[in-house]
Amino acid sequence: MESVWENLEVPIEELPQIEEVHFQKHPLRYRTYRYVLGLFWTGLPVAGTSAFAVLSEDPLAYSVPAGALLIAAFAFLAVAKGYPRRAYALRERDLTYRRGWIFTSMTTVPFNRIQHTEVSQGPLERKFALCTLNIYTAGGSTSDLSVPGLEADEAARLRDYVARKAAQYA
Amino acid sequence: MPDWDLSQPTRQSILGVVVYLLRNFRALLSLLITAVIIGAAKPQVWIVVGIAVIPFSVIAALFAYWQYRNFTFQLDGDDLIIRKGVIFKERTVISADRIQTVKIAESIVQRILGLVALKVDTAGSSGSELEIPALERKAALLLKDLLYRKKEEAEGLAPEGADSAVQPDGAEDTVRVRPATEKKVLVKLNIFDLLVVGLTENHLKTGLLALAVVFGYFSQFMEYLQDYLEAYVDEYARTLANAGIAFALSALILFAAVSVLLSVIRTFLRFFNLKAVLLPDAVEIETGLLKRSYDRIPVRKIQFAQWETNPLRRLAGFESVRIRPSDPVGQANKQQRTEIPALRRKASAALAAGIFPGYEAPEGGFRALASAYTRINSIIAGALLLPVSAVLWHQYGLPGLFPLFVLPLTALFSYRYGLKVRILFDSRFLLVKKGWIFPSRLVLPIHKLQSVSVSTNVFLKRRKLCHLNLYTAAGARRVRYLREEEAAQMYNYMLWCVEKSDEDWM
Repeated sequence: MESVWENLEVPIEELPQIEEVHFQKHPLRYRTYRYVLGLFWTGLPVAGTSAFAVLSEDPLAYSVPAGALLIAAFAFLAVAKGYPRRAYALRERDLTYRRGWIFTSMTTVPFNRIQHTEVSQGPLERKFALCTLNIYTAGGSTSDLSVPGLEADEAARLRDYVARKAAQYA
Repeated sequence: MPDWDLSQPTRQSILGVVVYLLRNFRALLSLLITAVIIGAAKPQVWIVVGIAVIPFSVIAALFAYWQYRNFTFQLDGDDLIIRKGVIFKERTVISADRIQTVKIAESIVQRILGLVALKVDTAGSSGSELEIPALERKAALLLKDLLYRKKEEAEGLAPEGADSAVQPDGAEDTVRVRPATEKKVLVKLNIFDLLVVGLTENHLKTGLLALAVVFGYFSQFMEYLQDYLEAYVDEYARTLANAGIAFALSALILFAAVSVLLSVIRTFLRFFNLKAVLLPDAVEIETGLLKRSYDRIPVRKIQFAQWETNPLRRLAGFESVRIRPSDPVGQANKQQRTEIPALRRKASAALAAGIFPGYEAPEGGFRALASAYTRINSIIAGALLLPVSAVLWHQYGLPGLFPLFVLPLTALFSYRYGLKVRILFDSRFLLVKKGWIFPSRLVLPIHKLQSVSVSTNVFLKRRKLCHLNLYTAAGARRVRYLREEEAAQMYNYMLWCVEKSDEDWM
C-alpha cells in the first residue's frame, strides 16, 4: 500500500536505525539463573500435585501433575528459546532492550525522558553474581525498562552512564 | 468574606461539621445496610440494631466536631500547612512551588450548605491530593488565587506562555506565542444538548458499567442474601426454565431500556451545565449536577487528546473529546473530569489549536493491515462461537446454528475497522485514526512520548507485522498490525524526534 512521506525534515533512510546497532547479550549464566528460577517456581507445584496424586487412589489424579509438568516444560523451553533474543543496546541518546520468544518486544527509552535509575539484586541473583538495571520514566510501569542479567560492575557502569546522560539531556 | 489572617492556623466554616457528619454516616452506611438485611429476616435483631445505631451516631457526631475543630490550615511564607486528625494527628506542609493545580469541587451537600472543597494537587508525591473540604465559596476562590500567585512567585519568573490570565498587565507579551485569544468559550451545554448527548452515548458501555457496579455493590451482601435467595430460586426455578427464551428476550429489552435511561441520567449528572473555556495557557471545565467540579488543566501538562464520535452524535453535529494531562496518581477519576462530550467542529478545531500550538493534521503516514484485523477477530469469534453452535445444533437442530451469522459480520466489521486505522505524523505531531462506526482520532505531540516499543508474536511475525506502542505520562496507546519495516521507520523517526527535542513534556 502507499506510503506517503511529506512534511518531514529529514529523509527517513538517513536516520540512525536501531536495527543496525550492536546488541549486547547476557552472560550464559543468566540462562542458568533463569532455569533455576523456573525450577523453583514450577518445581513446587509439580512436587505438590505429584504427592497428591500418589496419595489419592484415583489414577486420574496423575493428570494434574502431568499438566503441571507440561507447563514447567514449556517454561523451560521459553527460557531456552528466549535467551538468545534477550539483549540490550546502548546508544548515545537512548537505551534499548529486546526480549521474548513467542511474544517478542523491543523497547527504547530516550535518556531525556528518564526519571531515575537503580540497580537491584535479588537473593538468587546474588548467588549468580548478576544485577538488574531498572530505568523509570513518567510513562508508568508499562514503559519502565529493566535490563536483567548484568555483571555487577557492568550494571554499575551502565547505571552511571545512563544517569549522567539523563542529567545531561534532561 | 471576613478578613483572613492566614498566617495563623485557620479553621474552616463551622458548617463543615455537617459535611464531616454526613461523611461519617456514609462510612457507616454499608454496616447499616447489612444490619437491615439481617434484621429483615430476624425481627428480634431490629432491637439490637436500633440500640446500636444510637451510640454509633453519637460517636459519628462527636468525631465530626473533633474533625472540624482539629482541621486548620495556614500559610507560612510559601508553605501551606494543614493540620488535621482526631486520634492520629497529621501535619502536612506543601511548599507553593510544588503545587500543580488547585481545584474547587462541590457535592450536593456542600452546595446546600454553600460550601466548596478546595483540592490541591502536588507534583511528584505518590500520595493522594490534599483537600480542605468545607470552605465558603468566596474564601475558596480567594485562597485558590492566593496559592496560584504564591506558586508563581516561588517558581520565579513565570515560564514562557504562562498564566497571563492572572496578570492582565503582562498579557500582551505572553499571548503572542499562542494562537488563542484571551478567553474563548468552547462549549456551553443547554438541556437540549444534554439530552442529545445522553441519547447518543454508547449505551452498551453504560449498561455493562451499571451491571458491574450493581454486582460489585451487592456482592458485599451476597453472603447474607444467599440463604434467602436459594429458597426463592428453588421455588421458581421451573417457571424460570419454562419461560426460557421469552425471559432472556425481555431481559435483553429491559437491559437496553435501562441502559438508555442510565445513559441519559449519567449524562445529566456528569455534564449538567457544562462549560468549557479555552485560556491561553489552560483549559477550564466546569461541570456536574450534584457534584459540581471546576477543573483547570494547564496546557503544558496535556499529553494527548482523543476525539471520538458515533453516527448519531455526528448527525447532531457533535464530537466528544478527552484531554489527558500527565497524572501518575488516580487516573480513573481524572479521565471523567477531562471529557467534553459535545463539541461542534469549529470549537474542536479551536481546542486543538489552543492545546497543541502550531498543530496541523499531518498527512504522511502508514496504514494498518486491514486483513490482519479480519483474520484475528474472525479466529477469536470462531473459537468462541463454533463450540457454542455445535452444542446448540445438537440440541435444537438447524436453528441452533443461528449464532454463526455473527461470524461474517465480525469479519466485515473488522475489515472495515482495519481499513480506517492509520497512523499519520510529521516532525511534531502524531495522529492516530481508528474506527469505522465509532471513528476516533488521537493527537499526540511527539515530544510528549516517554518511550516507544514494538511488539509482535510468532503469528504476526510470519506475516511481517507488529504493534507499535506509545507510552506517555498519561498512559499508553497501541497501534496494531503495522508492517514491520514501516513500524521500524516510525520507531526510529519518533526516537530521533524525542531525542533532539528540548521541549518540556511535563
